[in-house]
Amino acid sequence: MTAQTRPRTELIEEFFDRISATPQPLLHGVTAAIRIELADHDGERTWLVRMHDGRVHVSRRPGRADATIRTDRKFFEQVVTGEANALTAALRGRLRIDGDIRLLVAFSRVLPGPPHRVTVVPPADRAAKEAARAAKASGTTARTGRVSVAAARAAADRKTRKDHER
Amino acid sequence: MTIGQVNILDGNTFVVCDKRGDIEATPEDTSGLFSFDTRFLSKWILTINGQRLNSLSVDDLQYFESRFFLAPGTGSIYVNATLSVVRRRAVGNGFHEELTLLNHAEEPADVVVRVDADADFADMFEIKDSIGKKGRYYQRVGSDHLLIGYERDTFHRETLITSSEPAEFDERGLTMRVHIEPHSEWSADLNVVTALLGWGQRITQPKYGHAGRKERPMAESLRRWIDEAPRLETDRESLRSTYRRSLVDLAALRFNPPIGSGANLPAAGLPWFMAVFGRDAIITSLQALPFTPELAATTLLALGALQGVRVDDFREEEPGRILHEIRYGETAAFEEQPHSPYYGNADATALYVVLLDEYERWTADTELVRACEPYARAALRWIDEYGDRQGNGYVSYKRTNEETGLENQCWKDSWDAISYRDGRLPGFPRATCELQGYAYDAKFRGARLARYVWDDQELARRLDEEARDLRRRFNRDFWISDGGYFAVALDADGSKVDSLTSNIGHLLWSGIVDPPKARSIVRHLMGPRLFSGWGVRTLAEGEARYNPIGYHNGTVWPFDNSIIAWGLRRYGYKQEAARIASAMLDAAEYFNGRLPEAFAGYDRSFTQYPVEYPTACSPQAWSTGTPLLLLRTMLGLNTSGQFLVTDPAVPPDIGYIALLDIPGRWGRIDAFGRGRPFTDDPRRRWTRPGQR
Repeated sequence: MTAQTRPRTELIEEFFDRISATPQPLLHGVTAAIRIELADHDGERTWLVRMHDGRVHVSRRPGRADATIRTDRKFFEQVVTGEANALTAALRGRLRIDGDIRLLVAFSRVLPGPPHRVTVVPPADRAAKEAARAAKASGTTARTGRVSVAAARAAADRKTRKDHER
Repeated sequence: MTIGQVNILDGNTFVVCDKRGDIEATPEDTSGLFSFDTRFLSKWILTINGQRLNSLSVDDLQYFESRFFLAPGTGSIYVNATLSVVRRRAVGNGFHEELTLLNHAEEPADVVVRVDADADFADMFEIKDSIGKKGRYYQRVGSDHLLIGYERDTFHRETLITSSEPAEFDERGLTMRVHIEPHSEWSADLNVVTALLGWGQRITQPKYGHAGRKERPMAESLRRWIDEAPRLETDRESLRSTYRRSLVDLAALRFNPPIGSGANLPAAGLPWFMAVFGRDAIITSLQALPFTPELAATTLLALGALQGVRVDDFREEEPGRILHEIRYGETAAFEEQPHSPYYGNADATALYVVLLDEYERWTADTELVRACEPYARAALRWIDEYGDRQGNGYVSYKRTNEETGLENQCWKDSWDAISYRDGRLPGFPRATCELQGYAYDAKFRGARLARYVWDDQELARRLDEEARDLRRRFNRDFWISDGGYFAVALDADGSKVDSLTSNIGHLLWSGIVDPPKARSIVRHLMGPRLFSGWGVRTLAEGEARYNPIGYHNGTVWPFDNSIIAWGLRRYGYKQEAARIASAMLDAAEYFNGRLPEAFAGYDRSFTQYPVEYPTACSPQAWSTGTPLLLLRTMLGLNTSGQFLVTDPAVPPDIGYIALLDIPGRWGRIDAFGRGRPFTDDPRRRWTRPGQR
């Protein structure tokens, strides 16, 4: 999930491969199709994401869709890595949803969370905060597996990524 | 709201204006046309020949429609009153204003009609906190329109103003030169349309929808809403009008969240909280369940669809957590505020399961309960995995967003709402008592759903065991034996936070209180330190932070009292529940049937009337739901298997109550109750928790 270790051009394909490879229980009850149109310097790329009660099928073929998401490729890369949030992007007009707006909410359930979050902390403070976070993360590890996975992932992401562009 | 202001609303669009229909906002006040948490008009002033108008009267035709009767002139209305002005305004996606001038004179009239307009595009949060704008304003004037816009990077909000009659538009409004024959009238339709522009959308010419054209379907929808609710018959006139007021206000507060389920659920309250709040939506749906069960259905689906799925410290999102608040304004869009959605609450997740079970008991809508099963299971997991922040078996909270997150993540969410008797504030994580009650109830009810609807006996057994264990530990760890009540919270180090609060009433509702302890709890709730005569105070008189006008530190909250009355009924304290109902309904009379968010905790004998809390929201959803839940507690309405059971305990100042056509799994059934004098019978019955 570390955005910088891979060529960014593959991030979107990887994301679609990932969500279509396995069942997505977070999409239970959702049966609909979303077209995703991404503007790029050399034109536009379109994906059709069909969700069928927890199963996802992604293709590059045209087809009927209940909603269309439009933005540019670069920004969508940030969305699929969790660096950018799809819902606030829609409110900002950075991303546009036409059709059934609820499908943006449904789709965002399979998007990753933020790799880390900087809340304007001076570097010295940041180190102290990270230490406190790490201690807290290890504290929760003992209790539940779920928390520890999330916390460890967040901690790893924090280490690998130094800055946060928004 | 301050007196003299008029509110009209539709979904998350509403207008706050003065009695003339004018909007003249200052950066700090809430006048304006609002939509999506943004002020799309901050000025809308009508003048005739350069003069402001006098208000003769205002008709609130419907909650979405008002009519203002006006006359020109600054002094007495008898001066030059040959001209009348009527503004009829309906809210839609913006608003539609039908402006009519009537010339009563023998002579023709030539008048200059001017509307000054402006939009500051303030975010609700900026008005609350009065912060400046970071973007750029622009105006575009056309021969038939004025467009006012605001942009910041890709963020665009626009207001478009048009008129059906010829008008001269300029950057600050529009002017119409009108000739009216003797005893004739002239009218114009003014449209104000709001727009949020998405990525790549560029408006070159007006192509917005027509504002205000939903009037007829809205009137129809309101009529159906009232027709479908049970009919109330009673000899107490004020109760009838309070009931009707509640139904209409609930209809007005119905909110169709743009990124939600597509159906209506209750928004929290006007004006600050015309947005989806998880806790408020759930409580209001619980209160209104016997009356309008569809609110609960949409609340369950919408909150489920927006349930947390990942860990995000900024939004305090966690898998299974039910959201706290969603906002659509500029500060949310730019992530200066976390409400997209913000998840920082520790109670809505358990309450979600409580509502789901209560909904099933009333409606037998197993289809919806199965559709919500994954949400409810995730919610139950959250209670143990994330809610239990210390690993001590209690739900507690400590914000992960230290910049803009909430310190107190329970319903009493002001910063100083949870304190020791001596006023000290406890540390974090903080485990308030009612959270444990909700968690207990969620497990208990989750077990019932698992057993009878989801057919998962293993889960049912486990949840039952956990509920029993939680209850046993809670009655030991939170009990303050020398005071005879439960601590409001456990501090981070496990110490009991020992102030006496209304929270103990919620514990009765959840059923977590061991029956032998209930009598002492009830004595406190109805005793002089908590009971003001108008209701139960949030914090008892005598505690260091007690303040009769402290937001959560001494005021009386109607919703809080309705939950307490429900709790009293659960433990068999019928008369005490009736006393609370009686006091609340008395208070409602002073507010024309519309209970405010909170009123002052002064003793009833001291003020004679309930003093409204200064900046309280009104109408507010869970205050609006309060009379409904009190009708339920007075009639003792409950489900028992396939049946509706009643066990009335109506206060003596009400002769009779008949609630007809109560919808539920039984079809429709009527319930009746007669007022009985209060006696001071020391014998108290209690039902075992679970026997409702």
